[in-house]
Amino acid sequence: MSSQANSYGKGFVFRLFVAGNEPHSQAAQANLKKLCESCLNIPLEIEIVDVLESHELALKYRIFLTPALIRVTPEPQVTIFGDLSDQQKVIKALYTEG
Amino acid sequence: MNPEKPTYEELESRLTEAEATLDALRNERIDAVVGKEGVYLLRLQETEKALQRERARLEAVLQQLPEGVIIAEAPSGRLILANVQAAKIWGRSSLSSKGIEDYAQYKMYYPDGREYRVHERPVTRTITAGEVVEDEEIQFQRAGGSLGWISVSSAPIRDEKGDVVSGVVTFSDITERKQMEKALRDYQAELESRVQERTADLERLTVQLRGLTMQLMLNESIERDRIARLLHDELQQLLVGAKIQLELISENVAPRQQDVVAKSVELIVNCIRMSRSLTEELAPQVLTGEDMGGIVKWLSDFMKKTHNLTVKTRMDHDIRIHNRDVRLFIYQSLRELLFNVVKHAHTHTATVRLKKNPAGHMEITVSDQGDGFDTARVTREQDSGSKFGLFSMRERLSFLGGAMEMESVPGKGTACTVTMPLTGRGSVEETGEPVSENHLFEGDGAGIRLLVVDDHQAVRDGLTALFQKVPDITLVGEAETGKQGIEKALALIPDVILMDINMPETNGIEATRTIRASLPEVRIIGLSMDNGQTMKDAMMAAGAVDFISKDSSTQEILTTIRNHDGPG
Repeated sequence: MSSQANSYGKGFVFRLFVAGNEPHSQAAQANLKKLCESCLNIPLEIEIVDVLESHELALKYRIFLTPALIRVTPEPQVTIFGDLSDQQKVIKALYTEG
Repeated sequence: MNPEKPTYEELESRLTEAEATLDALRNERIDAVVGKEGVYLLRLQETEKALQRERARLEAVLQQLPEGVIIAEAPSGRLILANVQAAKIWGRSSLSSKGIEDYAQYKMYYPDGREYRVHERPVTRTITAGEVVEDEEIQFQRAGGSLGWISVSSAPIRDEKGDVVSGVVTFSDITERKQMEKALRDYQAELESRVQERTADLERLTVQLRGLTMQLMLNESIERDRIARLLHDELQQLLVGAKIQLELISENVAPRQQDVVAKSVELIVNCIRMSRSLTEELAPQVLTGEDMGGIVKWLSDFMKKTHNLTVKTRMDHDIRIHNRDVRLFIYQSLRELLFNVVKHAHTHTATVRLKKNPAGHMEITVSDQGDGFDTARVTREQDSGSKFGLFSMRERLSFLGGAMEMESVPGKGTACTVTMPLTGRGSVEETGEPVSENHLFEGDGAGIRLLVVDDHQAVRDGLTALFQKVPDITLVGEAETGKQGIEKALALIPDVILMDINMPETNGIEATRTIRASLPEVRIIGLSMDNGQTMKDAMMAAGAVDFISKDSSTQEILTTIRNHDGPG
C-alpha cells in the first residue's frame, strides 16, 4: 500500500457519471463515498456528472452506460461501470497503472 | 496519437472498457444508456423484472398452498399454472392443457353419476362466462382410475376493460369427508330402518293384542249366549214342565201334603223367575229378533222402567241385522250410551236415532240435552272400571269396521254416533238349528181342539198331561218349530193354538202371522218364558188373541184357553 501511496501521492480525480436519482446511480454514489472513507487514504477529488442534465460530457468520455466511474488522474483513465458494490474489484481497477 | 490508427495500448484500453461495459450489462447494475440522441432510462425493464420477481414469488406461494390451484387463460382454456397440490390431487406429476377440449382427459362426474362435459366445468364457465363458482362438489377420477371427491371454487380475473383474461380455480380433496358423510348417512339409514322394524313389530303386536282382545270379547259373548240358551232352552223349560206336573198331582194328594206341593210349585216358579232374570242379563231375549227397531223399543222400555229415562226413537229405515253377535254388540253399546246419559247428563230424556248413511253404514246416534261432560275423563274412568266401557266399544267397533264419535259441550248436552257397516261381518247369515222329529197326536175331537207349538219336549209333555185331565180341551197335535206349527195348523185346523215365541227356523211371531193369514178363525195364544211387554206386543201385532207366560199357573193357562173358545 505504501508503494501505492508513493505512486498516487498526488491523489485521485474521479468523475462519477449518474442518471439522476435512479437506484443504481444512488447506490454508486453511496458505495464510492464508503470506499473513499475506508480505503483511500490519499487526497482525492470527485466530480459528479448527471447525464440527464448533460449527456455530451458522457459521450466525450465514451460513457454509454450509467452509473460509471472514471479515474481521471492519475492516468491512464480507468472506467468502472455499475453501482461499485464489488469493493475489491473497484480497488483493483482504481490502482491500475498505465 | 494517430486517430486513424489506434495504438496497441488504445486498443487494449477500449477492450477493457468494452469488457467492463459488458460486465456491467451482465450484472444488471446500470440505470441508463447514453446515446447521441440522449439518455435512455432502463426503469421500464426494471418494472418488468420486478413483476417477474413478484410472479415468481406468487408462484412459490401457490405451490406451497395446501389446496389445488390452476390458472387458465381466457378464452382459450390453456393452463397457465397448476400447482403441485393440484397435480397431486389428480394423482399426476403435472397438469397441462392447451385448451378447453383438452379438459376431457380429466374425468369429472355429477353426484348423480353423469359425466361433466368440458363446457360444464367450473373453469370453463368462469373463463367463458365470467361465472363465480363456490364450493361445487364434484366426483373425479384419479390417474390410477380410483374415484374421489373435490370441492371446486373458481373466479375470473379481468383486465382494466372488464374482460376476462383468465380464471383461477381452487379445489380441495374432500374424499375423506364425503366418505364420512356417507358412513353417517348409512348409519342413520340403518338406525331408521331399525326404528321402522321396531315400530312395525310394535304395530304387529298391537294388532295381535287387539285381535286377542276381540277374540276374548267374542268368546265371552258366545259363552254368555250359550249359558243363556242353556238356561232358557233347557233349565227353564224343564222347570216349567216340572211345575205343570206338580200342579197336576196336587189335586190327588192328601190335603196336608197339598201345602207342600204348593210351596214346591212356588219354589219352582221362583227358580224360573231367577233363571229368566239371569237369562235376560246374560243375553236379552229381545236379541233373538233381527229387527233393530224391536231391540231399541225393548231397551227404551227397560230404561224407562229401571232408570226413569224416556228414550225417544227415530228410525228412517227398517234395519235388520242377521248376526246375533253384532246385534248383541249394538244392544250393549246402546245400553252403555244410555247409561252414560243417566250417569253424566242428569236428564230424563234421550234420543236414539238409527239410520243408514249414504255409504250404506248403519248410524246410531244417542243424544241428550243434559249437562255435557269431559269425554276424555269419562272414557278413562270407564276403561278402568267397566266391563263394557267406551274403550271396549271403540275396539270392537274397529274390529267390525265401524267407528265412534263423541261430542259433548258442557251445559249443552252430548251426542255420540256409532257407525258400522251393514255388510261384511255383521251381515253373515246365522245357520238354523237342526230340526228334530215331531210327533202327531190324534185327539177325540171333543171340546176345544188345541194345537201346542213349542220346541221344548218338557213343556209339551207337561201341557199334554194337563190337557189329558181336562175334558173340554182336546190336544189334537204338537209341533216343535214354527214351520211345523204352520203345516199342522193348516192340516188340523185347530180352534186354539198355544204358540211359543222363541223357536228355531220360523219363530212364533212369524208363524202366527202366517197362520192368521190363512186361517183367520184360529185363535192363537202366545206362550213364552219372556213375559215382557215387547214380546206380547209383537205377538198381538202378528194376530195373536192373547199372551201368557210359561210360569203362569195351570189354572191360568186353562182359563186363558177357555176364554177364547169360539171363533176369533
